[in-house]
Formats: sequence, C-alpha cells, structure tokens
Amino acid sequence: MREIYFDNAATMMKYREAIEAEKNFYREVNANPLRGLYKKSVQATTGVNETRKAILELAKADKSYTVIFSRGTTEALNMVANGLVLGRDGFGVVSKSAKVVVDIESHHSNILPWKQRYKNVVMAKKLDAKELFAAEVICLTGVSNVTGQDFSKRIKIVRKTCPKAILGVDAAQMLGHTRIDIKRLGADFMAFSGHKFGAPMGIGGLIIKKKLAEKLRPLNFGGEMVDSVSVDGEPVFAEIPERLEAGTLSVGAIFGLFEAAKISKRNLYEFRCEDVIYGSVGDYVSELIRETADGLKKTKGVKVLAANGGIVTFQVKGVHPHDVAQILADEGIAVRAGWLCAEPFLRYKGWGPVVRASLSEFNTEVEVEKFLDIIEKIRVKMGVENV
Amino acid sequence: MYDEELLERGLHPRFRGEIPGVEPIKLLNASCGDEILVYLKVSDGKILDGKWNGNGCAISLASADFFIESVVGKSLDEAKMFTREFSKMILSEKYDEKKIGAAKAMKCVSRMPARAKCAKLALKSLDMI
Repeated sequence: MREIYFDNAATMMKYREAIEAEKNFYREVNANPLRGLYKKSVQATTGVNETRKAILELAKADKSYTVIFSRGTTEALNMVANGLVLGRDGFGVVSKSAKVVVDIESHHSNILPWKQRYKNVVMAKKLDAKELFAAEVICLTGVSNVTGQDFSKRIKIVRKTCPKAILGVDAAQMLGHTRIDIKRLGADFMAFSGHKFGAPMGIGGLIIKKKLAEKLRPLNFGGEMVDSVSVDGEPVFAEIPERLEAGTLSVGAIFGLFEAAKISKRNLYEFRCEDVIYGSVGDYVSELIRETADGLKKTKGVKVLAANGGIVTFQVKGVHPHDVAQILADEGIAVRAGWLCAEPFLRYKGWGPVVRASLSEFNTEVEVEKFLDIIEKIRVKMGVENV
Repeated sequence: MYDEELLERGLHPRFRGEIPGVEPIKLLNASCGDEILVYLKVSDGKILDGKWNGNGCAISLASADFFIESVVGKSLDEAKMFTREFSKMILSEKYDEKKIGAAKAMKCVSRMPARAKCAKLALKSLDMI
C-alpha cells in the first residue's frame, strides 16, 4: 500500500534533485569547505556560497543581508535570541530585560528561545499599539503551522508601528512556499528550515541583515569561526557569516538545499501539473486544500477549524485527534494530531488538540478523495456515530 | 486497529469519577493534549479506592480505566508490579501475562510505539504519590 503523505508541514516530501545533490556531494566531493586549498574543498566552498545566494534570492534579499546556516529554524531562532543579549564579551544589542514580543500563533520554537533568555516576553494576541509599546525585539510567525494563514500584511503593519525594533520572522512554513520580499516585509532577520520546502533535514538558517549579524554572539565557539587563537590572548574571530557557523557545516544537506531553493523559486512563478499550468505551486496546493476542506465540511460530525495555504485543521466530534490520526495511519494516510507545537495558540482559540492535514505539490486529488472516504467512516469505526 | 474491548472501555469506562476528599494527581501528555486526573485513596500502603477523570484519546482513557481496575485493592508494591508488567507489554518486551488481567485488551498498543505514552499516562500516578 502506497502511503498518502499529508504531513508536509512537519516535513515536506523531498525533491529527487535535492536527495541526489546530497548523495553526490558525499560520493564525488566530500571535502570540508573554506579551509582546504585543494580542488574538492574549493568545490565545497563554492557550493556553500552559491546556496547562500540561492536562499537570499528566494527571500529577495539584497546585499545588505547574509545567510547564516544552522540545523534549522529552531537553532536559528536560538542563535538570534542568544546572540542579541548584551554581554561583557562585547556581543549583543539588547539587555535581558528588553521587551520581546512574539505572536500568539507562534510555534513553540518561537516562544521558548525568547522565554528562556528574556525576562519580559509578551505573547501578543492582537499586536496592537499597547502590546507593541516599547518592544525592542519582535519575532512573528510568517505562516501559521496550525492554520496555514499568511501573516505578511500583519508583519508589514508591525514594521510601520515599530520602525526601530528588531523585527524577525519565523519563516519555517513560509520560505519556499510563498513569494517573499524580505525588505518589503521590513524584517531584520528570518529563520527557516530547508526540510520544510523539499531540502534534506538538518539544514536551515537565518537570513539576516549583515549589520545585525555582526553584533550577534555566536551560539557555538570552535573551528572555522575564528581567525586566530593564542595561549594567553583573546581569540580573533572570523568575519560573518563564518563567525556564527562554528564547526563543520552539513555541506551535503547544503548542496541539497541549493536544489530545493532553485526548484521552489521556479515553482513560485509557474507550476505544471499534467497539462495544467498554474500561476504558482501555491495555487495548485490551495485548490487541493479547498477540495479537502469542502469535503470535510460536508462530512457529518467534522468541524473544519482552518483551511489556508497547504493546511486544513479539523476535529471529529467524539473522536480524539490522535485516534483520528491512528485510524488514518492504519489506512496508510499520514497526518499530524495534537498540539502541533503551538499549545498556547490552540488553548487561546479554545480548540484544544486538533488534526492537521498538510498537503504539498506531491499530493493529488485522488489522494484527497481517499482521505475523505476514510474520514467519513471514522465515527462509525469508533462507535460514536450517534454522539 | 484498536482491540474491541479497548474501544468499548474507552467509550464506557467503569471507573470514571472523583473521590471526595482525595487530592487528584494530574497527568499531562503534552504532545497529544491528554489530561487525566487520577484519584487514589491510599492507607497503610494499600490502595483502597481509585477513580479517574479527564480527557484524552481512546488509548489513554481505556488505559486509565484498566489501571484503576487493576490496582484497587492492591498494595502499592503490588500495584507497581502491575505497572511494570503492563509497561513491558506495551513496549513489546517479555511480560508476565498473569499479572496483567483485563488490561491485556491494551496489548494492541504494542504495535503503535508512538502511543506508548498514551497507554502509560495514568500509570505514572503511582510514582507521584
């Protein structure tokens, strides 16, 4: 039985080209970038630099921005939260008492890095002037992993309201899926994960203004990030981006990321599925989500809570979301259920745990139909059809 | 998928409720959103009465009910012996079937490793007394 994969918001199905690029790096190159003078090391360095450019292009970032690689969004947000704290080491921008604002829609990875390091973290529900007053750092959800809602407009408004604050975007569900213009958003930094748009796991990073990156404290200290180390004296750190990327990067994954960035960029402006040409991959996925949501709405006992972008979130009356997910799993359909790493938001909405189906360009109408067929039978299967 | 008996127990639990005067033990399953309150009336190292209440998936609800059924009337040591054997069953390890009793209806969970935490949720209450 071929599994139907509707958990793309957790990790997207991978592009064949990205898998091949990672594999080929280890088969044919396998050298450490930056330091080696031999051909293969240069090849590795070139690949890393080309990928930085491809990521910058994906966010329409100009030369005032750079890319710092990390394991993914979580590490990237930790890097900023940790790096911004003013310290005696000369790094940092704001004090631990600075007001930090994140939105209620935030994924746990945009809550905990701040809450663990700052004393005054506000989880804003409205992002109005009162909540934003005196905020020094604001980090907002780009696209919700619960509702699929795109918050680009809201980010631009916040930028206008707070022209001086450091403004960041958690773009885990955004980069590669929507057309982004980081400068028009007004973002100083943007965190992303490659595996959310078809690249290998273990690679992501920060798209960040160079001037801000220069002030960040490195999350890790070690090789590649330093120019000189002496027995007695202070180390001389390397320039950015290397200063913030201690240790050997996941270069195979970076080569995969390059391919995914290239394909994603192309798909944002034209996507072909069989004979149909869509204006963007988002149009195709949104059409599938509409069909899924319409079908769910027609099913007795099913409540659709949100349907946007590539995500539809719902509940089945009388059946716990994990039981819904289990029944679907037994039928070969992968969805996600529970708090979706966004417990504050789900509690705020009064929804509690939910089921999320998240689709991508790899999914089809036939898969949606099979999914809906099974959903229709769930309440009978669980013995709650009369609830 | 689930054992019929598990489903039935989740839908129609026998030990759902509260025990007045007994402070409940709150158990949370963060990823699923399960919240179970376990009431255990313990005296001289013996569990005299037990109830549970809360919300969760079919597995965590049925498991809570089988747990209460299995430990009431037992000493704390005997109850812990039950939870040890039950956990082994859930984790597909070798276990003593005689000590499991009616809770054997939960055996189907052993082929769902991601659900082990649901099946073991109410059991954790014994470590929190």
